[in-house]
Amino acid sequence: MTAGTYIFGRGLACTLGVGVNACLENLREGPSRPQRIHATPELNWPYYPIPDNSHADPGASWHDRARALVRQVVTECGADIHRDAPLFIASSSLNVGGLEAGAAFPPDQQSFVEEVAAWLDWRGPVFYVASACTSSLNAMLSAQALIESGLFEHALVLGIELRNHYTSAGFSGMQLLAPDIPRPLDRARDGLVLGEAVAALYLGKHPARWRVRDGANRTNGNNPVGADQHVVAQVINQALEACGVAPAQIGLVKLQAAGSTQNDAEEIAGLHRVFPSLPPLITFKATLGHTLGASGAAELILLTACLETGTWPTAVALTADPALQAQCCAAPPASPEKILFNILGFGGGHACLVIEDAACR
Amino acid sequence: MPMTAWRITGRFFAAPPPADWRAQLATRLGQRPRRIGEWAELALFGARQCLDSAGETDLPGSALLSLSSLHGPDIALRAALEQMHDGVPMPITFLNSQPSQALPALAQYLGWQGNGRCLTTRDPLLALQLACLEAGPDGLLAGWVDEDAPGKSVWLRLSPTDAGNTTFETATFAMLEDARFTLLAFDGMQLKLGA
Repeated sequence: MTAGTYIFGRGLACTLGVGVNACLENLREGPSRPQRIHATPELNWPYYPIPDNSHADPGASWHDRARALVRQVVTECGADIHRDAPLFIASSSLNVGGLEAGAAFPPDQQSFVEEVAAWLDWRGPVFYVASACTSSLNAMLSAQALIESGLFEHALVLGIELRNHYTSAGFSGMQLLAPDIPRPLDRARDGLVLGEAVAALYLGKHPARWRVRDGANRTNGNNPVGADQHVVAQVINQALEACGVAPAQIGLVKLQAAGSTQNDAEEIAGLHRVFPSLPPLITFKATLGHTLGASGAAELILLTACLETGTWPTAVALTADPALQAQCCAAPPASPEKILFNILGFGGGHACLVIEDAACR
Repeated sequence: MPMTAWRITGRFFAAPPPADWRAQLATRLGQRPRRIGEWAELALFGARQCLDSAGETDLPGSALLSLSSLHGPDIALRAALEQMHDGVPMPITFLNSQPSQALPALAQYLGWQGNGRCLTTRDPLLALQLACLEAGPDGLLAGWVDEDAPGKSVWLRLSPTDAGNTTFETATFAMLEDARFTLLAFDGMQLKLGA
């Protein structure tokens, strides 16, 4: 059994704002509404952008805006004092927004990853994790392995998912997008809404309030674009077993639940296979949108910040789907010491972590 | 820190791949793999050959699969961006431009369902060392795949082992192709090979 790693610092830019405290303040004000992203006059979709206020000039180029956001969240999480640590960049779309804006294709994808490291004057090894929606969680598990090996004391996981038309167009072509808002677990759910996030998790081996105990990741070859309830149950059981935690000890489950008709149902069915009675549930997809490769880091940051402050997302007029027998809780559960954190995604990716809150002991 | 040793049970170095690699793969599988992009297909070609060299029909479910690529499915990405000039990219083009789509293809054709990820470093040894740190008793299958000319599909199948009194020598990634070396270890972040 692993000792786990601890969350030393957090930095977040997402549709709620730039900075964790700003995000919490805006979360308290009520449900977020998506804006529209226009690829062409005929093609536009709902979208949760990072608000353009304090982080860059309104007219900044895609790269200038990306650099400003990356620097801001890394400074906020405090990792810029250990620049020799490994840096894991987790992303689905990486620099596609920049390419759309006219930037030249770099010599290879790793060149852009190294450019991001250079923005931070980073000196440690740089890893690029591109496992779609599970990228951030895979990055956290790899960071944990490096820290537990004794080779490094710290690691930075940086989820980056920034504005581009290509992802929205691709998801639209696959008929995965909701026309207005995401409705996770809702009877009328009809797709997901994409969003932007830049999220920095600074991990280390010395005790802090939040511990990432361990986790599991499984690839399902039978469905390259969706979740499978059997694999959901397998990956959860594997993660619980790795941590020596029984299902009854889980006090909260952070769902993937993005509002997809089929995937939400598969995820909940998988949970029913593990839990005789479902623990309290929460999803952030109706709050942040689906931030793809950054979603694991962004949602873990927001979840831990919410639990620290008692702030909780307000559901948008949800009508629970009776077929699921599952609803998100309207308020934070009391002292959920052990939390299951799910991310599912493209590529048959099923991943979950077990998170512990030392403040609940 | 004591060194953990790994036996190189399978290896396949195609850099560049043979001109008829697609035909070879189709022959080996008994069919041309359907609905996957060329980059994923090239990954599958090398992974399948590597497992064959290890004498394994399937990759054990608890083995780690790590796929690295400096370019990723770059050709499909360029095609998808090109198609956006006329509207939305074709779903198959969009999917093929996603690195993660190689993983279910590998899962399907290697008879495997386990911990797989796309993780890249400029120095291939770093990705290999990290995979060794994360792998369990069934070891790992690690690949480095790029379709851009000249292209490559390089794979290693490793299983944990007791190195006994093996003498290791400091090595580079390129030396992993040498079949005289059958054991691998890391001393700190330095690759060591032994026979």
